[in-house]
Amino acid sequence: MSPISADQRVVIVGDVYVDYPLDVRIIRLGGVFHAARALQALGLPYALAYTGPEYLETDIQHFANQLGSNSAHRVGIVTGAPAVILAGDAREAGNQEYDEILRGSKKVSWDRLTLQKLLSSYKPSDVLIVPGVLPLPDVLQTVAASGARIHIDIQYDVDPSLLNSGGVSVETMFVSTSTSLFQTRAGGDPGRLRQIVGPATARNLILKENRGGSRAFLADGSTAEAPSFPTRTQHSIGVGDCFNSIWIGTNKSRPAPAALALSSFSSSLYASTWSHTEFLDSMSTLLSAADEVGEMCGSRIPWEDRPKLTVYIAAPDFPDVNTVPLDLLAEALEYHNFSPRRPVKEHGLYSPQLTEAQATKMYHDDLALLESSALLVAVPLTNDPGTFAELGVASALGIPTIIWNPRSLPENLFAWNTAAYRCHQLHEVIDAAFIAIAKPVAARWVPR
Amino acid sequence: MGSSGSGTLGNYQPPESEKCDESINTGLEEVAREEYFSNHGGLPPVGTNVRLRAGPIKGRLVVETSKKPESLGLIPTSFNYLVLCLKKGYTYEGEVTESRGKRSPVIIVSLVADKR
Repeated sequence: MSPISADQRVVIVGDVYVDYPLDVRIIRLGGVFHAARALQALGLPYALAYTGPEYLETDIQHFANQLGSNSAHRVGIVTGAPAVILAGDAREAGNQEYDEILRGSKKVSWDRLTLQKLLSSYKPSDVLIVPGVLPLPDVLQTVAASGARIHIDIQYDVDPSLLNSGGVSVETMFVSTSTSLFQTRAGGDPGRLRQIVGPATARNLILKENRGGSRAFLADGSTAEAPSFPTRTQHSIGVGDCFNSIWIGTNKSRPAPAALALSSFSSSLYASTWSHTEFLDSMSTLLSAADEVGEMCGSRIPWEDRPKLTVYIAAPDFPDVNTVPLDLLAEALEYHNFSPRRPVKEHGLYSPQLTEAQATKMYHDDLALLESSALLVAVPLTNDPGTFAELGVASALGIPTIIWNPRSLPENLFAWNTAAYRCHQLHEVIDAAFIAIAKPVAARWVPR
Repeated sequence: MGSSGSGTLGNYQPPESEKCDESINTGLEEVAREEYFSNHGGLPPVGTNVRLRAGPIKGRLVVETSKKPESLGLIPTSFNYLVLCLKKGYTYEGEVTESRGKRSPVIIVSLVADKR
């Protein structure tokens, strides 16, 4: 049975950007184009209502056509900025450090009439709004008048009360754990988020929790959750937009857990390649295997469970060693809401001047911390015996272990084979951390 | 579509190799809970012929012995893409390359892809 409904057609409203990840240096049309790629792969008819600068107009029309869009309509002309986003970390080991060039001087001329004409002629069943430079209250009122189901992705600093004040009823709100709405206003508490964005504001609230999975708070009070599916991450740009599109296309014909799983698996496919041809091919197979894919097991670590998961960083965290990789690792783990621990920083640096009692206490403090950890990441910045000893102890205790060799030191045979996961880059460590800690589970309804 | 190198927007070229064609070399998970270990109280010898079961069982991909099929262990979830490869008609067969351990049994397999 096809996972998509026969009578659906979607309009995507939002900005077009040129994405430029600095670490990978591949130019890619982004913004609404991420959702467009996913809808094409799903075989769902769609049209684009976009904003963009004049110099991109020919490319936008060309690639919209190549991506199977029924039509593409410019509803806002962007001036003052090139609509280019630089991404510092394409794979989102930690903060992706998006930076839109000249965003402070960006202006848009909003063409409501073009959007109205599109909605009137195309008659979409669903409209996906990705807030950006367009005036959101105006866009919402225009879309609401069409009668289409409204889905909105809160990516930046959008105030959900805008929805209430306009009297607009939204079918789905998508929120990522990286947004200030979730982290600041909701204090990182998914339950609090649902209180802020109740069913009257958005019938369905989807919380995307990065490599730890996702959950859906539904209008009837039930909650579904799904794991994320590990992949060889090539990039994390537009992955959330892909997720949104697949949810829109599957949640009417599949139970929420299965729809979340399909959205998540599709997102993994999107993240695993820069090639649209490869993505299309994979998605074509996914549609024929939707029943199996919807039941696959992956990594599920709810956001609020992560702070109690201690990650022990075993490394020569010494004053005479360049410990920048350890800082980056700790920051990345904190970004994903884990609790990294650096025993040398916390318990002190051993020196021969310590008394035996002091040294023994230091050792026992480190050991107690290690024993209580959910994961050990060994980072041999130098050939430090302590790092390898801690790796061995963790492995013998059955604690998951990762070894990260950022300086490409000659690999010690025993150490390299003791660790369960061996990584050369930081994003690989983060990928492995979720796999190592999470027990594989399938999508499910969350018991009330 | 709409992606390229840093010079122009274009069509990013697909990779030269198909991911489903790649060989799989991996340790298996949950070895102690699977049929072979339960039935025999030990591990299969190195060289035992094995294969990837044709479809997932309870959301996991399973490696079994080729003769008198008994499950040996589960493929790690990072290989979940294989569920799509199986749907495309790929099969994966190979052998046990390592098998050791008493308290924490370990089986490592090497599987080669074949397309029907």
